[in-house]
Amino acid sequence: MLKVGITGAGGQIGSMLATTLGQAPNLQVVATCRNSLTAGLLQETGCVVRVGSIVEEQFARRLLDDCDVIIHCALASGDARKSRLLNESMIHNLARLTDTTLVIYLSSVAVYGSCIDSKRTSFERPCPDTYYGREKLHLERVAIRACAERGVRYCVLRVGHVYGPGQWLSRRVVDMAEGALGSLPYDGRLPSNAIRSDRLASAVNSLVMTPDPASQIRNVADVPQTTWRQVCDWHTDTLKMPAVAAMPAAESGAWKRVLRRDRFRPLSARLLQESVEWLRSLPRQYAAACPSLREAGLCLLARSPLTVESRLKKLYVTLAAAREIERMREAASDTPPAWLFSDAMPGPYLGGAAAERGDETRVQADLVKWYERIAGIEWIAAQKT
Amino acid sequence: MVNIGIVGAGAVVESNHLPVLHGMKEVTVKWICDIEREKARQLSRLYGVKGAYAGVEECSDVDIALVAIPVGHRRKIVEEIVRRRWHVFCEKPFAVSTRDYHFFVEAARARNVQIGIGLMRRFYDANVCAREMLRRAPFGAVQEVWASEGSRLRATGREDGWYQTDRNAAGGGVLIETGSHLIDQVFQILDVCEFEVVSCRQRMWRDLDYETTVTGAVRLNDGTECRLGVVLSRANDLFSGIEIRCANTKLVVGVVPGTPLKICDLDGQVLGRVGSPRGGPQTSYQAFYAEWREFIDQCRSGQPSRVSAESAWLTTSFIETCYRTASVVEIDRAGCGVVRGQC
Repeated sequence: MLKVGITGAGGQIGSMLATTLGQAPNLQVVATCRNSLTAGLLQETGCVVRVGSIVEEQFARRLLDDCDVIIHCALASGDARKSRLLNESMIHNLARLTDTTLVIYLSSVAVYGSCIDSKRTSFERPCPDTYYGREKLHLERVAIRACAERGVRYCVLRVGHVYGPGQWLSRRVVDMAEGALGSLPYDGRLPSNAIRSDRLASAVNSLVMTPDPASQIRNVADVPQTTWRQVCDWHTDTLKMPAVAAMPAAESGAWKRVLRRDRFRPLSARLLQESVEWLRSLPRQYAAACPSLREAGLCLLARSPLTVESRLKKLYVTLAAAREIERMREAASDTPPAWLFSDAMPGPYLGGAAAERGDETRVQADLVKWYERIAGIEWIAAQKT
Repeated sequence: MVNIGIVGAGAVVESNHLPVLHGMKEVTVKWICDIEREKARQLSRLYGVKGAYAGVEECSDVDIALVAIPVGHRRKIVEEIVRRRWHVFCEKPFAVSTRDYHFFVEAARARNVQIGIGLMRRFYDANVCAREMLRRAPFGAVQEVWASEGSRLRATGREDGWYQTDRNAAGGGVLIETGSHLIDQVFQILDVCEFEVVSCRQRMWRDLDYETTVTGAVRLNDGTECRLGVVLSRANDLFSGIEIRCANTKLVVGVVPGTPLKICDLDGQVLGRVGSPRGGPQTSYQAFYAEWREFIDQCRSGQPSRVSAESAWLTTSFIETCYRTASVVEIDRAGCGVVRGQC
């Protein structure tokens, strides 16, 4: 029987994979986490649960040396330099495991940038524009190098936005359906780069069971690609909620232009522009923060011609009105997330079994149960003692 | 100038107390003490604090000592602090048991020092607003209260040895760790004077509760009695908030600072969102500042305040009762529960 180790089994994706793969009859799954509190929740998965850190080689060996395949979901976060060193160390330790013939590294759609523009980012040369995306791309390269040096096969999976019960994207969609969080650009016609959690598990399972898979980098998303409208409608139909509102085409176009332009400008250019805007706002901030300045101004105005005062008054009230209206607009409409305007991830995708009919029903039932618990308190009142 | 010493160089001190105390001009942090001296030293260096120690007995005299160490390890420390006649400000939860509660409060009383509890949710604007509104009872009598808080435990970033993996250190699991906040919020908002636990169920693994469901009743200081239901969880994502059902309205209070109080009809339709007239703390830092201000004033005046330790009695007692009477289902590999009976 194939033995599969999952690192970071306490995390969002790791725990989902542990739960699903732990029930696969053809696999023995070892789920690792760093403390026994997290281990408690993994008891129900059917996996062997091992507690420890894989940052040091000796402990990594103790935890995972008997595994044929490693699915690396763990990611250190926090202080930038420290977490980079920890992440690199984990990858090197996994590549050094004795029995392991395949390391599956979970990367992210973020390596292509938060708003994928197929003219500017490619499969071979992704252009991340966030710290997270840059780190993920860096770690991909570390993983590939470490595995190649050791003769271990690797598979880098650039995982799209995961949705399903307990996933952040599903929570976001639910908020949008409730009207709390904006509308769908282009009525959701753009590709989502999303993958439902059971399909991710299914695809990873297929990969693990493939005899002697070649080293590869693959994108992971629903196959065929689902649109944002399809992703949202799956949620709202299952949960019997109203459909997520559509953003008008003109507004969608305007946001797309702004977000794509911003995303692909170099960080230094964005920093310069934001600094200039801040400097421009300084006089206004100074005036607002200094009551004495206002007093001095009033004394001066009392000695000035009437035309000067009326011009200054006009300037003041038009600026104040513009500021308050801007504040109201900002409160009413947040900037939509850039990933709603993305092109599809470029390059090859990981194939995998589409969800079986049974899975569809089960996932929908799990989604309903999850939503009931986060939507309100009525379900507590209904519980029998 | 108020001199403060800090016992415990953990996350809540580094992320919350020190940034707030650092900005309070009338306060000087004299030392940080932690059994891991190096941790105390690093934090002291970062914040320009002169002293870094590994034991309270090494520390110079201060006016107030903040106790921010696991609740199960506090007895000796609090004993030493009150012996030195420093006022004591404890991080939540206050005590693992009513026995410890009495020990701390009476020890402080005997030495004529003040003892307080840091429960910053009491200061959230929505909490203060809800409490005031219910006191004036424009919505009719309170009939039911339902409170839940939880999210599935995901990446903690912590190794084994973290105090929350140890029942003796943490005092329990989600019930004491999160419940000490949520239950206190409910009791404060409603002005509860008595409670009854009708049933308590817990899902546990190795003596740590991952989910606790309690039903019961509370009596309010105005004589009203109402039904109470509480769920706390580390196993499942839950709605996080308190729903107070009155005769013709529902009030919904959040658990996160800055969440406005919602007034809803009985069908759950939101009619409005309100804040208190004076505008209270809207962020964590503001709430931490407010609780420090309150405790410092308590120490100066000798008069009880919103953070007096006495006010933690009901919550401590409630949590203890729940642990004592809970029927327990073990989380096990097969996924099916084995009922263990009462603890």
